[in-house]
Amino acid sequence: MRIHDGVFGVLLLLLAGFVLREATGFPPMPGQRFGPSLFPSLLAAGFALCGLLLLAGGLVSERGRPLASLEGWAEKGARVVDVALVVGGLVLLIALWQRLGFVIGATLYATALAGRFLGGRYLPALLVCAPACFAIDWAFRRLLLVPLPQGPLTGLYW
Amino acid sequence: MTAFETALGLVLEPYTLAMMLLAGLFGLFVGAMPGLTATMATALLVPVTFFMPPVPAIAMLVTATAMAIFAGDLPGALVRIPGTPASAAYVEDAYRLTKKGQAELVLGCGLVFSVIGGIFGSIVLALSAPVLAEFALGFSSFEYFWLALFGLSCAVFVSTGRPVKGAVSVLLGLLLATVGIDPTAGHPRFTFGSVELMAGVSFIPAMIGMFAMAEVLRWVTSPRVIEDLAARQKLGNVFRGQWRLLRRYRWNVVRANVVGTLIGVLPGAGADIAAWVTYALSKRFSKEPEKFGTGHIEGVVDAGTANNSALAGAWVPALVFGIPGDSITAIVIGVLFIKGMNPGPTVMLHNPEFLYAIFIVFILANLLMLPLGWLAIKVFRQILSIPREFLMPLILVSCVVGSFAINNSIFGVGIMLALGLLGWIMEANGFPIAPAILGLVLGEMIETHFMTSMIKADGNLLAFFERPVSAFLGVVTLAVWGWILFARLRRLGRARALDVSPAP
Repeated sequence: MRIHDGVFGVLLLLLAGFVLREATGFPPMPGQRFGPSLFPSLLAAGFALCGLLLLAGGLVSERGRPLASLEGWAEKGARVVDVALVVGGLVLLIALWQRLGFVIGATLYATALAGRFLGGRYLPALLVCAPACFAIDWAFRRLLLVPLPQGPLTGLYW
Repeated sequence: MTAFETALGLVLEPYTLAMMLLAGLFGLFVGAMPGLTATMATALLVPVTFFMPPVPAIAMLVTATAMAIFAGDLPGALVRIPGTPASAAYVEDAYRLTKKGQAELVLGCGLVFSVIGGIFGSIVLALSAPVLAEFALGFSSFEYFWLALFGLSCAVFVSTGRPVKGAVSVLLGLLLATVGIDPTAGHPRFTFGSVELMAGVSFIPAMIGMFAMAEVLRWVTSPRVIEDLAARQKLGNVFRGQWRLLRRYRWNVVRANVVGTLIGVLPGAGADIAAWVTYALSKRFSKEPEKFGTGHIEGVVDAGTANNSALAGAWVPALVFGIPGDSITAIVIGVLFIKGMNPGPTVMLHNPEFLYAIFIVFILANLLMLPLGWLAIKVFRQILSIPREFLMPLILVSCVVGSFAINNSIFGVGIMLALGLLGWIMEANGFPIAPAILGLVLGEMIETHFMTSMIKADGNLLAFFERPVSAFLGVVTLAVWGWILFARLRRLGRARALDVSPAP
């Protein structure tokens, strides 16, 4: 995804304004001339400067370019769906993390992605992804004692 | 028992050696897969190392990265896709040599000269780190502030693309580092009422997101056609002809080792930049510069040596000052802090056995590269045949687990997702990622030393230049920025001159 430098410039200026506004709300350190706001304020100044440079540079060198373009990869609509699936699937996995548990959630996510990348062949995807997710669960939960949620499978396996 | 003997005992424990072997195989696998980087190998290993004692944990990271950097040469030579960015500089030569039927020579060269570079860098690390650490014991907050700022400035200076974009990347990293409880006054900043954010933006999920997840997204949006030259290559004894190469290019190897290690030591610049710079130097000083890019082994020798020597070099500032030399050591510093082994000059006083253990691990990892690298060359065809269509979703699942494991909280996965998207968009638009990670790692250190210095000096900025080392570092840092500005103005001037010159 190619975004015009000028857009980045504007976004950075907005970010600078936001950081500065937040920083001015931090209380000063007792008995000192400096407080928690000093460093973020300096960063805000840096963002503002970079934003101005990008805006000016973008307006000169990228004149006539669209504000955002999906360049090449997105001309194939399938790739846009792929990206949406990667991101949307991950959002769903986060939302249903406790309810589905790791093994079910991760298997569904990985199978959906692999099946899609394989051109709709979901069975081979499932046959590879399910044991792989079980293996990851075993390694992390049993060996490394990471409390990955089990969801509906609680108590049914290791 | 001396510290060295203790270190030797720790490294030679069967558990540590077994972990090194496993990490070596993992590093070879990741490096050999086009599109997966050594940094990604390190980031994915971090959750595994949480649960280990410090020496095996660090041994795993060192071994995996050394192997991954070498293994990056394999797909570069056989399918023209550098396995890691550190192999990109000489991919054209390596691939063309393969096309000429010299795959055996070029892969053997990658292996042998990676080992030479790695061992040279390790020796420099072992010799220089204790000396520098002793020197750094006299540093105050002023010196540390400048040193950290110098590191970030170098990251901007050496980053590819426009410096202003490198600067934005650094600033973003620093801003992320300010989230949470402020280190001087204890006031929560940018937490928006979230208890999770009070602890700050966790470094590991950020790293996994910006490197690993962003790479998966890049793969998803890139063409998936690989010209399979690997299937047509006969690979016999890859060590044949290497001695002749070493004798012929001995001075190139010396130069590549020195330049590679120095670039590695420079904060912010790692194996990728070392490879590009030495390749350019090799061409510049070669007797046959016209052959570069057409399948000439000289550049492969030079850059292949330099990228591995830079790897060890990057550990010098990381261990001595706690300032990462590259994105890999940025991850390592995070791991060292988690293990309670705060990197810095006192590491030599408090944990000398740990420092010696790292030196031994480096030498051992590079020696291990010979048999494992040979094995990787032999089975590369099989590694390459693993469909990325399966691998990428499973990498994403590993990223999720790794981000969860740091605090056993799904919030980490959210951070990974957000920063993965940010990293992907940034890189697609020419904003380098490594400076952001350096900013995130160094943010708290810079702010703490800056605030301490400001309070000590009561706001007098001249105090930052009053101590000799501090003044030197300050001037050097300002000179880096001056040079960036000067180069930009000169480029603008040239562009303007071209604009106003009349058409012929």
